[in-house]
Amino acid sequence: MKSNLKPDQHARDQEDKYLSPREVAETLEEFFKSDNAIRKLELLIKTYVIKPSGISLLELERDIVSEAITKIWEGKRRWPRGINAATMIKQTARSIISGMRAERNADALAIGRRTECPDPSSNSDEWLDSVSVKETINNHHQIANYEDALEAIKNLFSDDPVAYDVLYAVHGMKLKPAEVQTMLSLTATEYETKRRKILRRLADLR
Amino acid sequence: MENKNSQKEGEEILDSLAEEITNLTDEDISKLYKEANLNSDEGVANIRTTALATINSLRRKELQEARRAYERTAQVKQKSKGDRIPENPGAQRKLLESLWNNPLIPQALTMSFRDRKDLSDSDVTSILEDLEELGFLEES
Repeated sequence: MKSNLKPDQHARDQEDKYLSPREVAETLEEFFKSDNAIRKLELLIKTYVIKPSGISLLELERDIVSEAITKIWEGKRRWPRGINAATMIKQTARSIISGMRAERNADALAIGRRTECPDPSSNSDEWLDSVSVKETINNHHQIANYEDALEAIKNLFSDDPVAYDVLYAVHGMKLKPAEVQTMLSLTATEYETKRRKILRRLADLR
Repeated sequence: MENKNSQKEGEEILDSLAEEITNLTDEDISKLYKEANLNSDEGVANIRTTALATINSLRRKELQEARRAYERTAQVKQKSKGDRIPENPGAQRKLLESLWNNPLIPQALTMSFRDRKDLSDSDVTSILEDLEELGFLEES
């Protein structure tokens, strides 16, 4: 349906709907003053990334935080009023990581296609191209796809399969705590201990 | 198909874990880091430094862009100054004649030059420059 609003009215409504650049700047600065807000953000990024290769987790965290701030600041992701800083930054970071995953998958497909076709013994430059693509990608952030991330989580609990079972029951099967306890024959305390262990392991990722 | 399902499942599990983390209170977070015996101060400081450096760099970029925009505007203004005044003295007089009866032009500016015939060419140029600066040549 076509809007009957005049352009300046429309612009004013948009301004009311989203934070102004000044508000964005102030809110971001305020957010990064809190140690626990940063810890939570760090834990979220670690959880979404799980296990990068070719780059340290801390370095990747810094890149993601910096990119998230830039996207929000420059208005590439507009900040609706009523959304708190933690949610806004979390959603932006998630979207950046998903983008990296998608890019990596597309690159991997491209490598698969390139390396299957060219013949290194031929005089064609195509083979050289495929090598340079590979080298470039090795320098990119290597974020595991979701399937590999799941495998990495499983490996994280290789010494405690019950902890992984709890994780899978809660987050994969969406069972309620009582249901998980019945299914895995755990007491409430044992369940709570495993749940805290899962979070500690994620926080300890580096 | 199986691969697609594992991808979806992986995504859902990560999202659900993230949701649990999002719902942790400040107290939960403090307790968790204490329990894990994590020396997270360094990590926190690192992220904070990165965040503030990014914010400062974006502020600087904004300032530079604003300065460049101002300089561009100033250049345009500088360039347009005198553009509306013809070079030929006769044409300048004609332009001044055409403006003389404009009621919006401050009388104080024109009073001393009421007898236009006494004006030298440089007087005419000077009055036109004043009028241009006041914006009276823009609509003419």
